[in-house]
Amino acid sequence: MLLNQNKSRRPLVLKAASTFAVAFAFTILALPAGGPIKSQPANVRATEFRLAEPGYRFQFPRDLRPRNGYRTSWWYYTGHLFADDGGRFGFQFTIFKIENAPNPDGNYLTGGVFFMAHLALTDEQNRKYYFTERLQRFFPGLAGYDAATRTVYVENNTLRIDDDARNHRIAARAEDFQLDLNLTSVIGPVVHGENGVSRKGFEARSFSHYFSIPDLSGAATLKIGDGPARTLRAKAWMDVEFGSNVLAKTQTGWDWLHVSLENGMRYMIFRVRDNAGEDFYSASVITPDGRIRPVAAQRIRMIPEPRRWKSAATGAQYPLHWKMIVEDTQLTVTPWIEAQEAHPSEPSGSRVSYWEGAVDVTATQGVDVTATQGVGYLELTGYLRSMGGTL
Amino acid sequence: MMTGFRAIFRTLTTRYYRRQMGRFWLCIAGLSAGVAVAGAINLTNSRVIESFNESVETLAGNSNLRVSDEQGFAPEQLEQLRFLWDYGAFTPYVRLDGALLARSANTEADTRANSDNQTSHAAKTENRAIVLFGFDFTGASRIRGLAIRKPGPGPDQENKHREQNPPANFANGLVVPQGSLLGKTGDTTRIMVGGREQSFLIVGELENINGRYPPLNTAYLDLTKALQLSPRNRLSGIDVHVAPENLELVRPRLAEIFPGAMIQTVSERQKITSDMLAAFQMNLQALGIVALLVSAYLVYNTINISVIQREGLIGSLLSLGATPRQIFAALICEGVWLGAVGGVIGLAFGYGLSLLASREVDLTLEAVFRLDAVRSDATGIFSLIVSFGLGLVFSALAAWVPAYRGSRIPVASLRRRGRSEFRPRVLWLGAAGVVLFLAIFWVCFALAVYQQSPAPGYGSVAALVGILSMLAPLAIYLLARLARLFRHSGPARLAAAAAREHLIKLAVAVAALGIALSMAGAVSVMVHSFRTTVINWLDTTVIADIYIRASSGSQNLNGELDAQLVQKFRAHPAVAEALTIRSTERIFRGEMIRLGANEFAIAEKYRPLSFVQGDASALTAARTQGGVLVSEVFANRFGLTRGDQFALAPDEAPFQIFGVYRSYASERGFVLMDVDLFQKRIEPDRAPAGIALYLKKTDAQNHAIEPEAVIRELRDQYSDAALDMSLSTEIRGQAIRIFNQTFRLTYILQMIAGGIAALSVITTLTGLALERRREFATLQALGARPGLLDRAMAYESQIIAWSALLIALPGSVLLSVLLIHVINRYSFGWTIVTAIPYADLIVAALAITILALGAALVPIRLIRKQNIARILKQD
Repeated sequence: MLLNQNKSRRPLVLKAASTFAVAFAFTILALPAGGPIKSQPANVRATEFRLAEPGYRFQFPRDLRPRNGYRTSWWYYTGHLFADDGGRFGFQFTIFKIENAPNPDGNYLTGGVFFMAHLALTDEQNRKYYFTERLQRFFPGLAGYDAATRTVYVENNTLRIDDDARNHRIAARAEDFQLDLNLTSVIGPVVHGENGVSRKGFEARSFSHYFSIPDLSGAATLKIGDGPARTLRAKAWMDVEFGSNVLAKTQTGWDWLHVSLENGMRYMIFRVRDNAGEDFYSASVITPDGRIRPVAAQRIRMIPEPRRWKSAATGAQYPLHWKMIVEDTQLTVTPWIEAQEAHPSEPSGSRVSYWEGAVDVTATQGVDVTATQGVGYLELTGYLRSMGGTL
Repeated sequence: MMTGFRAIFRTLTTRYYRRQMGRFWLCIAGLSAGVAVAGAINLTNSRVIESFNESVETLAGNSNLRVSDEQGFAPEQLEQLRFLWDYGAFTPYVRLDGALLARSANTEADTRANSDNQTSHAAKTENRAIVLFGFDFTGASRIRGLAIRKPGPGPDQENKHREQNPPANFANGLVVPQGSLLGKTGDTTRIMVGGREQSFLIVGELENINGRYPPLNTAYLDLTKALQLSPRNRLSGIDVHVAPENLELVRPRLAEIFPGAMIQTVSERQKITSDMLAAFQMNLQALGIVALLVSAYLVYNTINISVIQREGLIGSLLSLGATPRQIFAALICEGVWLGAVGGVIGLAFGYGLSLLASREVDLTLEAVFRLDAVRSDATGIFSLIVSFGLGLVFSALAAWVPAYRGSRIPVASLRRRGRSEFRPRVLWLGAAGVVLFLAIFWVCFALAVYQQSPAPGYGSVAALVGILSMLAPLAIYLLARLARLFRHSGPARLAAAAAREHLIKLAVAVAALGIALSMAGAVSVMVHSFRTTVINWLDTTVIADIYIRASSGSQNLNGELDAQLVQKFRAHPAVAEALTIRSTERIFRGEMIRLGANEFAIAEKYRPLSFVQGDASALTAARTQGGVLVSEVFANRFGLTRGDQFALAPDEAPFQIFGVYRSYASERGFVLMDVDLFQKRIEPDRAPAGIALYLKKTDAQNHAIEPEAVIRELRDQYSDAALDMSLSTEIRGQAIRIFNQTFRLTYILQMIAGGIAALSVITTLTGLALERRREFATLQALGARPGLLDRAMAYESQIIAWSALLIALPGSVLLSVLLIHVINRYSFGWTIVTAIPYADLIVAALAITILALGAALVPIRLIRKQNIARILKQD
């Protein structure tokens, strides 16, 4: 990854803190006891939590399990379910772990550690979207990690990953649906970024540890409401990320996408938007045989179409149609349905809304007119209110 | 038709009361007093219930199952509860008893906005018991919706905003109910908890839990913070919410996971609440019955008098074409109208009265149940309105008899005046009624004894009221016969004749008065008996010189005394013997019981027990043969007696009961055993919770040992040990204070009874005087001296008063027997030794006699003022 640390560009290179991705979810949870964090450089917070540092060596199964002492970490599954009759569903199953105060020993008696599950389902045929949030403290029986069964859980939402990272069992128990997934990976984990870290902004220590398992597939059992349980084919992408840095005040949110094309190519692309300077871009390309390479920021473009979809629930306006360019591949992104906004409205919950949904992707390369089809998951945050300074 | 009825009502009622404003207001005053008392009682009752609900139910949120254990749970046990998420939700909690030591209040409103140290703090020293709850502010929202107010953002710190279940900002501070004695947001408070002094910053104010007020004597902190403060880091309980249809599915699994825990549904929790309230409410309900009797009687008497006064008018209306039905309806409407006017005024008075009573109620709640002051709300107002409605119904019912009589007045008032109401038939009917109600009384009584349940006992009370009512004509007849023995006293013979002649009217008044006096007397007997029994029990059992226990601040999950401390107390040179007290709780046949132990070998010397079955030798027998003693409550509740055996669990060896002893300390059953047996069979490691010190009479130098001096020395020596030390005299005094506070409301009952006595006699005699005004006028015209009629009235007042007392005598005794031996016994499992407060009852009888004499002054004045010539001319 090419990092721009040119002093002459300093005004544009903001001292951003940058734990990527689901910063939105922690707007409140990540606050220390006593009040909101003032926007401060990542290196100030760094004295309290374990940091994502270059040179980190991933180890499995250790890094599949909860990592203590990091401010935020998550297991992030998004994917697609296919019925024999042609029906399609998108799903999100995420477990976040948040430490409000450093808890390097993983002791529940210390307090201040929370687990949160986000469960979402998109029913393309019926143009319906379901979302549930479950937030619990790290405490026996409520949420945590059961070492005996290698299960991370938030209430009865459970995730079990075998030590070899190949087999994943998920049970999602949302308000309106139940989803059981039995997934298998062939290529196993692939690590994003370089030297064990994934950069999230222009700040010198703005890193996270980030790996994905992009080729999960298997069977799913889905039950919506009181309807019958259906057996479906599942394809999924799993992210694990942990770190302790914070977003700068000017970093308002991010747009993130993963794509799986029919030809076996996979892409992870994101940008962190900055309202006072340059947006930060990052991408990885994963070949069908599981090799991963980072993409230079200059070779990444994410161009939203001008038209936006306005959420009736929150009033936020999201750009759902995109053209993205990664190296010489152009990706055209179209949402399955527009209404895929996660809106945790429970007063006791995180209360941070974002858009995360299943998309169709058409890929073309250079002047080649033959398009390759694929599916992906798009995440758009910070469109309701800025995420800046919240992490 | 309606127009005709309206004209009748206007002529009969409106115009009449316009001329008789004094009578109207007398009736309204009485009625409003009745409704006010009944309303105030209802309001007080609802406030009490609300207070209990606040403490018992509010904190449980909308959970419908609670798992609790005095020993607490290790948090790791909750791993086994993960299955519950498939059925609903659960949340653990920690409960800690604490004592507020001091609070330091910020005196500037914007302290939180400024950090320039310009604020001044006023430290206030307190010493109040509070209960701290460790709640999960984050994930418990499906069970407990905590609406917490905290300072809002922005420059205007007065701009508050509400936030529910804030996840992080309250982690290290304390959340208090709004209006809490602990202070407000920004204040610092020092609390003794877990045996240590802790300082907390108040970070938020709790408005409500699921829309209901939290108790004021509580405070809330984060679950893990509370766990750190609790001994052995144990949880106190778990609140569970599952769909009702899954309750019975979930419950056995919980019982398997927590074998020693109490698992209660909402209805079971409410039963415990209602059990706790039973004694308190029984007193209040007795007051309510009396108040309603007053109301009904006043309406009856007012309309009765007014009918007598309007006989001529009614006769005229009938002759002009009004039907008896219209007259009846008009008089019923009159009763309702009086009830409505009196009720509206009574509502206002009732509210005021309830405010006056609230201090008494609050004191009782705090002293007896350790609950905080209650806050009135809409449900309280609703209970006032219910009283108003009841007042209307009672007014209509009370108007029935006089209205019927009024509608039966012959045309042109041909009814022969002075016609005697006495018929032997009336006495026979009365006697038959007595027999009928007596049969009901015995059936209910037998049922109560057979079922060991207080509910049929209330049936007996109702039957007894019937018996007393039926006895009224007999009592008057007897006293009238007695008055006739004064052959040479004209007034006495006049009074006797009048009583006989107006037997029915007098009987109603006497019945009302007699029932009121019976109730007041019975409650007096019960309270006196209970008080005497408790004092005897305290004198028998609280016989050590000094009692020491872990202080309330440290006694939460398992308040235990340090073993070294116990040794030091035993070794104190002034101590002759020390009796330690260990106790724990267990579930037995679905109910929570307490198991306790002390050194029987020492207890045998001092005999600190009062036995119902067996005697002090039971201590030796139990010790040597491995048996136990049980409290009377335990024996009654589970139908066990001396010699029986019981096993705490099916797979455990049984215990034999060697004696049953009295205990009024708890409504839970208690099993007492020797400490060796306790350690062998129950809990080997349980340390003593308290110690009783028996002091030597003299020291080595033969100087008398003063317990006061010893306790002073111990308090100084162990001031840091978080101990409660009391002299036996202090404990006894405190117990009696609590007892007196509990029954303070009964004094109001006695005052009401006195008021009824006066009102009954006044209204009855006034009515009779009015009815007999022609008779009196004739006597006066024939030369009767004024004093003759005055004395006749005085005699009549005494006939009424003594007839009522004649009824009240057996009434009080029988009612007190029911209260003591049926209702109390089967409600609480306590037997009380009946003790009659003879002096009090004699004083009360004399007071009633004097009150009745005083009440006779009103009709006497009326007779003296009447215009003889005009009355005779009218006649």
